[in-house]
Amino acid sequence: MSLDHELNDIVLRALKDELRIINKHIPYRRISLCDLIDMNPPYIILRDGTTHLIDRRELQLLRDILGDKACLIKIPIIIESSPSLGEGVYRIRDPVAALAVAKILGLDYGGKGELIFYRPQLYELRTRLRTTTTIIFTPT
Amino acid sequence: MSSLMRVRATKIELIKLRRRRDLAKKVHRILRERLTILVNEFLTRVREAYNFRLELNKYISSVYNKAILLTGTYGDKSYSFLRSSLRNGIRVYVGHENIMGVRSVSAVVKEPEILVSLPPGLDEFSREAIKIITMIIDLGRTEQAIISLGKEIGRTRRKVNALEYIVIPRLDKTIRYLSMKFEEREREEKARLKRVKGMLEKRRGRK
Repeated sequence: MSLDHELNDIVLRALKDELRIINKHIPYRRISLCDLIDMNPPYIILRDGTTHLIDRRELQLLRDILGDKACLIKIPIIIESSPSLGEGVYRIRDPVAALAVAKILGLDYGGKGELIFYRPQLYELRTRLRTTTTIIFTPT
Repeated sequence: MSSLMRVRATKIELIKLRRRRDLAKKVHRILRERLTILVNEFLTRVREAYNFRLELNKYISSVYNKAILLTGTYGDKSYSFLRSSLRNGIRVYVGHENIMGVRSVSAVVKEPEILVSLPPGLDEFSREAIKIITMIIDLGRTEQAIISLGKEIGRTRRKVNALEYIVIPRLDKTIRYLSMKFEEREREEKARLKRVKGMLEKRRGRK
């Protein structure tokens, strides 16, 4: 096999690996807000085996926002970025999480379906919920 | 910058190259999006660290003033004893935080429960001291995140640039070259067939 072929294979493998590791920070299992508040310190385990510490102040903020629905929300809140949505567009599928995020960002949300928002709103959300949100990339 | 790749001029190779270009474009789009988010996270953290530092500097001077006042009031020994008891009560859990796949050191403070009633002035001082420790830890965590994000941004930018300026243009050029070569082959084939047809017609005419 020529050097060019070998290089091509390396590039191809690197590209495939890049798609695989881009989502390594997804949680292994999402935990409910109430369970996390009881934990000391609150943390979750990620797919790459590492632990991710969660700020208790953010959990308290979410509990205050959601009230009696607090135990229904799973942490971390997953924000999806997909090429099908377009550049700079994000969505949250979980209705309870969408409700909490809509309240934080001051958006209108009917309580059903997914919540779509844009890049400036994502930055605002990430400033306020730094450890309780995570962004994933879906290739399709 | 981009030169042609040395590949066999076959249709299979062309299909493979097209697939590879699609994959490279997809990875490029995702990495660019990731880079944008990382840069913004970085800028947010820089602003946050700046604000934390300003707030901490303002707060720390007032607490120092109170400490001097309390030392004067209660004497050096009793003040040192109370200060050490406060320090022992604080627990800090050190772990990691994952920001978009970037691992950074993080810490969470568990505030102590002050059960004993403290002399006047010391209870407020202890509350402010705990607040200062929390602020210092928040500042440290933010600065650590800035360092980790900065390294990851550099790495991702190199990947994005390599894809944008080398890998994708090279694939495009090779695909264009192969397509042109196949078109040329087709034209040659057509010309050859025409020539053969003409020769056959001439031969038939002679008979």
